[in-house]
Amino acid sequence: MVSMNNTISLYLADIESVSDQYQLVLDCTFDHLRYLNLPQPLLKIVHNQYGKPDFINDNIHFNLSHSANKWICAISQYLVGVDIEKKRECRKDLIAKRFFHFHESQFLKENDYQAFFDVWCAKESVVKCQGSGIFDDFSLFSVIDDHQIIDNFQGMSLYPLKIADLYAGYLCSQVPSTLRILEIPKEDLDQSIISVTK
Amino acid sequence: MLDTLKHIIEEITGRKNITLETDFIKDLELSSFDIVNIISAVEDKYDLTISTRDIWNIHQVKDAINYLHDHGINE
Repeated sequence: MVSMNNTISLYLADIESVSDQYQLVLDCTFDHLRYLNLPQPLLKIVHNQYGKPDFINDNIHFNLSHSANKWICAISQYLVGVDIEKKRECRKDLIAKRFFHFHESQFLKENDYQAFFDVWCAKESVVKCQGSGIFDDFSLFSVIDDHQIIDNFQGMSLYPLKIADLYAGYLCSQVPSTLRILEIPKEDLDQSIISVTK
Repeated sequence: MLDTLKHIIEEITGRKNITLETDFIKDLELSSFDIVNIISAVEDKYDLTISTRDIWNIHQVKDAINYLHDHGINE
């Protein structure tokens, strides 16, 4: 059962630099809270021991990803991780062998690495949701299940994101959720005011 | 060695004007995948494995060069 409070707001934008992204995160968060008719607390961003930024508040969380000129911000009442990647040429065989679980690496090899970026994004969204990062244990878990598909992982919910052509993306949530996806118009970015609509 | 790293970084990210002080996150705003991509290319080039934990202690280009020197790689 997915309640209203399990809504995750995903804000998409085209940006050239992420240097001022935290003001945008605050604007997105206030939009999310307004949408859910929730009170707007005093928000403070802190970094955990792995460098992952999040609100110090226990009942509101965010996670960020960017690739090329695409930026995405996920806001949720629960722990959340998001990753997007622009698909590009790279040494997929080397990276899969070095950083992926054996099952993932084998699966990709047998499928000519077609789902390479999907697997990467799913894995990174999982560790971002867990609050850690890409460490030695990154290659010790697999997001590919026995049916050879990317599926929910250890009780966390995984959602594929289709944000644009040539991009892969995955969202990982602590709980099953409803996704609310919004694009931030460029004029709003310039003013740092969020007035997004579905 | 700087020229080799500059070549790898430019090939992967398209970014030029790389110096010893260039910071992968602060200056180039690279994603985790970009960094993993660069590390894989460096490992392939120099035939070594950089411990995954050590990857995140390499902030600037000069840190990568120092790491390689400390692990017996010289050019």
